[in-house]
This record gives sequence, structure tokens and C-alpha cells, in this order.
Amino acid sequence: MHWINWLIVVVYLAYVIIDGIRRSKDTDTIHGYFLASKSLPWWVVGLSVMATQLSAVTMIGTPGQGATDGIRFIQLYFGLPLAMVILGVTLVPFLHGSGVFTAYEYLESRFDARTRSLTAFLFLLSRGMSVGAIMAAPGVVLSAIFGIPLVWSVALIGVPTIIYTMIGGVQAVAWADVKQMVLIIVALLAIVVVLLIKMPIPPDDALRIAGATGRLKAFDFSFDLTETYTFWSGMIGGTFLMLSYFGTDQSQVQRYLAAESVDAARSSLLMSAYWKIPLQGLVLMVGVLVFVYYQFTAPPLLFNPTHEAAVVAERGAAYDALQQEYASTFTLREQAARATADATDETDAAAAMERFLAREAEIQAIRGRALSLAEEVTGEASRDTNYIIPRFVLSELPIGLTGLFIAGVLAAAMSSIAAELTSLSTTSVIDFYRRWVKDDADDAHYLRVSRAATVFWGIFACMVAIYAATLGSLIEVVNRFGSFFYGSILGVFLLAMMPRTNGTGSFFGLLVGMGVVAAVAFGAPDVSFLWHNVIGAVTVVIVGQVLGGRGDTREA
Amino acid sequence: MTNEDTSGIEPPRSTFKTTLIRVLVVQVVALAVLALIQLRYTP
Repeated sequence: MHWINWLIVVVYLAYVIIDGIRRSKDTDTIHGYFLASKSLPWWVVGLSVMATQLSAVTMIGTPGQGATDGIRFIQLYFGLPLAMVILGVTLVPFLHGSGVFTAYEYLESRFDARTRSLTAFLFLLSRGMSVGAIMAAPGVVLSAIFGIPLVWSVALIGVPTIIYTMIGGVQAVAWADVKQMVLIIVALLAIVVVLLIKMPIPPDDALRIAGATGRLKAFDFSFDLTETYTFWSGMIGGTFLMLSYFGTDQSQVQRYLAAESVDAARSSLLMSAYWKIPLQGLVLMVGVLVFVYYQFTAPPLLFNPTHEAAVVAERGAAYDALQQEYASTFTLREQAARATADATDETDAAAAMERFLAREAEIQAIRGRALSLAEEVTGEASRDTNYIIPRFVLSELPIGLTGLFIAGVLAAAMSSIAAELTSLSTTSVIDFYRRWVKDDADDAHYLRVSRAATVFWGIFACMVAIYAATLGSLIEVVNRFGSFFYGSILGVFLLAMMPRTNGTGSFFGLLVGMGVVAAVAFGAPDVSFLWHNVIGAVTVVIVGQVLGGRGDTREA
Repeated sequence: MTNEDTSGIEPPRSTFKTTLIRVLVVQVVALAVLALIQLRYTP
């Protein structure tokens, strides 16, 4: 990468650290450190909420998904606006007004200590591992793209994040998120502008080519429980997923707990309700346009440079043969794509499109063989999709914009990781250390412990990221386990707002909910994970209501 | 926490209705744009 691009990345990293230290002024109490003394305006919290949800995977993997699979992934977010409104009138006022540090702390005042501790423990378990995975994804890609050891790419992301999070707490994280969000959007828009300028055909023709391959199909109205992205799974399962994530996950709850008022907290969530679908559309459209761009400029047969090098080294002759076949088919496909764009009447256009689709199918078949070869040689799943955008950025963007995009990827990674680190630290200190170990220390003591906890979780995340390849199956197990209880924890919070519920109902409801979801996941593995959230939440509410009718009950 | 504890911070019903309508309008517009793109460009 050109030195100007590296300079942009270095300036960005230095700025994030310096700004984090500057924002640490009012963090001499844990109220200031964990909740920014409830001083943040709605738009800061709103951008922080969006930046937290937008990880490096969104910058790298999602456009890649747009390039290979189109925009149907957007259906996942169809339930988000409604979920934000529901949270704005239910959980947000409850949590913000109750003066808690964590969502789980509230559960003790409503139910009992065991419900609080179990939900907090489940959060630490899943988030502790997932923050490593969040760091590993861009770490692996940057390592392969720049040819640097994974330790360095993980350190590039992890070290600055740990420093500004540890020093500045939530305040520094939220204000850093604002700038990071701006950087991310500028980087995405810059790519779209460059793509439109460099595209050899008009935008309308580009969309016609994308549409012909099914990449502009945003709606799938089939009611198929095994299909992950449909209109119904997005509207129903997606609503429950977003309710769980934004309503009960400490990494999100902590954002709006730091808002200056309940209204500010509500408004911050509504920012996501208004902007998430258009933003996700922009991210996916980048991928779709990259796909069309590569109809006229030959892309590499394999986007992952490490896999490409391994295949060339071990199966050079077979790969060369594939490359030749790929090059000649690409020329034919390009001619068909140009004919489609140049066609003057409908008959010509239809015939050209038919030729184009036939060549496109041939290209996909050749790529499929190359991916199989790579998997055979490396023994790893290809994940080639994650390398499409980085390779495009490095080879096609002008100097300066490449650095801007890489800084945007780092910003997306760091904003998510910082939020996870603060929430892990808060839950460790508030729900375990202060609750079970030492409840009578002064603020200075808790502040020291909180900073140490942030550093601990940061190092833990780096270790998981570095050993992600060897921990692969373990991370998968934990992530799968996480999907078992996400909806169930939402069920506990729903119970908290209902009458005739008690600690016994919520605790055993949570266990039964997780058990039922696990049974569905193993018994009917084809059922999309989005439905797990619905099943878990509904089960917990039913069991909690049944058991809550017995013994002592507390009014909601 | 009891209803009494949170009664002071419950949002007025009209605010919720207004917000709900705004969000639904924005979502309908977003979905309409997506539908338009799909209908125009997907054969």
C-alpha cells in the first residue's frame, strides 16, 4: 500500500488515542466511567449505537455478500424500526429510570440475585468469545491482504482500542464512535462515487445487469422456516432479534443508559430505526456495484491472496488451466455484458442477456472449482467473499481513498470492540465484583478495578483473535450456545414488565427457554436462527407466567 | 421496581403514536424503494 494510505491510517489511529485521552476528564468516578455521568446528547448516543452494531464484518463481509448474493440480506433488518419503537416505550424508560449500571442489575431489583447473575454470566460467556471473533475477522483479512503476521494486524486493531477504552471509559468510546461513524459513511460513499465514475456503462444498465442475476431481489415472501432471509423471518424473527440485542445486550443498553434523559435515550434508538435500512442498503449496494464492475475488469480467480499463493505453490498446473479457462470465459462474458448494455431494442437486449447469463453461470462454475481446489489444498473453508472488497479497494481505488477505506474498516472494528470491552468490564465489576466480592469500597477502588477489567478483556479478546483458527470450533460452539439464550433473555425482561411473575418463574423460565431452543436447534437444525429468538422469548414468558402464579409474586 | 416507581417516566401515549407513525412511514418509503428496484430490474 502507498505510504500516503499508511499515513492516513496512522493519523487516524493516533487521533483516536489522543481524543480518547482528552475525553477522559470526567471519568474519576465509576458513574462517569461507565455511564458518562448520564450526560451524552441523543445524537451522540444514536451514532454510538449504530457504530457499535456496525462491525468490520459489515465493512468487509457484507458488501462481499452483496457482490455474491445480492441485497436480500437486508430483510434481516425489516423488524428493526418496530423493535426500536417498542423498546422506546417499554425497556428504555424502565432501565434508564432505574439508575442501574447494567441491564442485569435491574433484574435483581425486579426478581432475585440468581436471575441477575445467570443472565450476566451468559452475557460474559458469549460476548467474551464473540469480541475475539469480532477482532479476528478483520485481523485475518488484513493479515492476508498486507502479508503481515496475524499478531500484528490484531495488535493494530486491539492496542489502540484498549488504550482509549481503558482511559476514557464510555465517554471516550461514544465520542470516538461519532467520528468513526462519519469516517465509515464517508468511506462507503467514496467507494460508490469511484465505482460510478469508473463503471464503463450507465448506472441504469449496471442495475439491469445486477438485476438479471437476481442480485437486486430484496423481497422473498415465501414462508419457509429453513430460509434465513425472508420477509417474514425479518419482520417477525428480526423484530425479536433486535429487541433482544438492543434491549438486553449490555453493549447496546450501556449506550442509552449514558444518555442525558429518557427522551434522549429513546431518540437515540430512533436514529437506528430511521437510518439502519438505508445504511445497510448502501453497504450491500457497494457489493452489487463491485460485482457489475468486475464484469468489465477481470477480477482474480481467488480473492484470498493466501489461498491463491498456496494453490499456486501446490497445484500450480491445475490452477493455471483454470486461470486460462477463466480468462477466455471472462472475455466472452464481458462481450455479452456490453452487448446487453448497448442493445437498442428489446429483442436484442433479451438475446444478449441470455448469452450473458449463460457465461455468468460458466464463470461461477469455474470459480466454484477454484474454491474447491483452495479448500483441498489449505484444509480451510474458503471465505473468499470476505476478500472481494479489500482486493477491490487495494487495486482499484485511488491513493488516499484506499487509506480512508482501511481506516474505515479499523474504525468499524474498533467501535464495536470498544463497546464490547466497556460492557464486559461493567458487567464484571458491577454484577460480580461489587455484588459478590467487595461491596463497600470507594469509587477510586472500583475505578481501578474497572480499568484493570477493561485491559483484561482487551487482552483476552486479542488472545482469542490470535488463536481464532485453533479455537474455531470452540468459538462456533459458544456462538451457537449464544443463539440459544438471546431470545430467552429477552423473555426474562418481558416477564419483568408483567404482573404475576417472580424470581422462580424468571429463573426456571430462562433455563426452560434455553433448553427448548437447544432442542429445536439440534432436533431441527434447518430452522433459521432468527426463529430461535421468537421460540426462546415466548417459551420463557409462558413458563414464567405459569410458575409466577405460584408462591410469592411481585407486581411489575 | 413497581408501577409506581416508573409511572413518572412512562411516555405519553400520543408521543408513542406519533413516533410509531413516523417510523412506519419511513419504513414504508424504504421498502417501497426496494420494491421499486426489484420490480424494475429483476426479470
